[in-house]
Amino acid sequence: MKSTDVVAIALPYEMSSAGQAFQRVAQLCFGAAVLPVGKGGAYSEPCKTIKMMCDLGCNVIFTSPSYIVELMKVAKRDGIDITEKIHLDMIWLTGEGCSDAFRKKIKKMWGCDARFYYGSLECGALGIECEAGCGYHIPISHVYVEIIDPDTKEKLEDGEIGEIVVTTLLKEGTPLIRYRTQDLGYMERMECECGIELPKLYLRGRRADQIYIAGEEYAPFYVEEMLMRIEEVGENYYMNVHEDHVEVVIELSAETKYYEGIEEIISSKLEFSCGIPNNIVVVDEIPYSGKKMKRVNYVY
Amino acid sequence: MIIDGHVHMGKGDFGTLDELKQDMQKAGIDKAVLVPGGMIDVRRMTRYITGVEKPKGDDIPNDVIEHIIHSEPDKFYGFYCVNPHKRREAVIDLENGIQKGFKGLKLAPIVHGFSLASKTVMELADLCGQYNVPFYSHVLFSPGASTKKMAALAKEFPNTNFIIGHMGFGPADVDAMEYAAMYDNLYLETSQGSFAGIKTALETCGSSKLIFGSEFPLYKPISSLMTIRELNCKESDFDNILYKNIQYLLNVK
Repeated sequence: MKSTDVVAIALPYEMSSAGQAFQRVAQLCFGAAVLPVGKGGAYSEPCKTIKMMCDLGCNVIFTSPSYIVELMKVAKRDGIDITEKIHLDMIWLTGEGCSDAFRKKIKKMWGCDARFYYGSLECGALGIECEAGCGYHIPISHVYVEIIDPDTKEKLEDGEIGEIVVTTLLKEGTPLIRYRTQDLGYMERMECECGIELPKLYLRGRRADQIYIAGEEYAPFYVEEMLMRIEEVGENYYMNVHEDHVEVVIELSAETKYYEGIEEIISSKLEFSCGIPNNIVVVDEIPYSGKKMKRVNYVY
Repeated sequence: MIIDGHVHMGKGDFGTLDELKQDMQKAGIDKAVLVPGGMIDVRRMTRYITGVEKPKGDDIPNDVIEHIIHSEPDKFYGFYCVNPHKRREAVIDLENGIQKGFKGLKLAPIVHGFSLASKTVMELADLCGQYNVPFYSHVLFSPGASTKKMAALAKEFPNTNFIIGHMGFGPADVDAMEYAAMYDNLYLETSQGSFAGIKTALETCGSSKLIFGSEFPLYKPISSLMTIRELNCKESDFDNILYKNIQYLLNVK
């Protein structure tokens, strides 16, 4: 970021440090102008956010994957061509898990780069993507990150997937020692394309969200990656987990028109790539919940 | 008698019919089962596995095979390839193919990216059973096209004969061998199989479940045949692997 940037912070300002934290970084660290548009508060409506982004020349936004999709939908509904009227250079995605395939859809729809920012309310910043877009650089002066086996609690070697555990190094009011995030990931120590030689963190979803069907475990992170690679699938979805299959409710992509039997084709493609027994339900629109998107719901 | 149970034939200039005939003569192979090829350039296979390049899945050269099997019906047999994502059209296509003289179904999960548990695949498996023609498919690391899924089909459709291509997934797919031993209607085709893998399969499921194939033009038939020869098994086992099993499945003499 730079001082001439106009940065929209489309993250919650209420009951969360997210909005204010990113605002401070943009203003104090970079001297950028900030649009504190929020994310669904009393005065924070997506149509107002779109208008401000258009009128004030916003070129950077911090928000969640589901909200950037919602902003795109609202703009489309209001007849605003987002790539024509809003010239974004960068979307910083945070607050929700997001697969690389989902990120690619977001990049395509907004016509700009999109990077992930990994953090938590409890610990603050935990990982930031560089231009390589592959894994997170850890802010090691702020946090000490370890990967442990969630069952034995033993520390794992590089490359082994386990639970991400964080010790904060600078927090005075609420210090945390080996805080268990319930997020899954692994670390690697190979030099990044950007030149940084320090360890990188790779996320693999949330431990509590894993899907269990007929004795098999499926990672929603991986299911989303495979779902979003299917060209017929749009930018919004959720999954209802049943005992013997998962019902995946989707919208179709803008380029795809509905035809009889499309559900079977998408279902087959999804099962091919990740093995999950599934039933596809196509809907015209999945309404924005106004809250943090919950992609996995257990219905049994 | 030797029948090559797995030969690719496409429209390009890689692996032509003339080359195949020369290779068959050199190896002493009498007949071959042809499947449509060229949807993937096998010389660049890794690019397809990693997803960097996409197969030409809509252009299935069944017509090339049809021409050859009608021109030389005593030398060549054909398997008809369909894209299960075409749903009902795929089933009708296969039925037409069988009526035109094709002797089996060939599915290509790496080309068309479908699940072996999909409704259309089930219909195709059922149709193969009705016409008594074998159902041949590769299996992959992808869970939807796994050895386990192919075995589940064999269990679900006991009147259909299934052939797992290339001895299953990887150099020694023990699951494929054990499933072949478990289900009467499940066979393994040996092309791309390692010597140790085929040897282990011979011990696990017996010669009555193995079908010699070469995977021409990616492999030379003579080298694939040499791997089988090196098994040093009984003459009756060689006969099973080299022609009897496939003759039985194709209903030919």
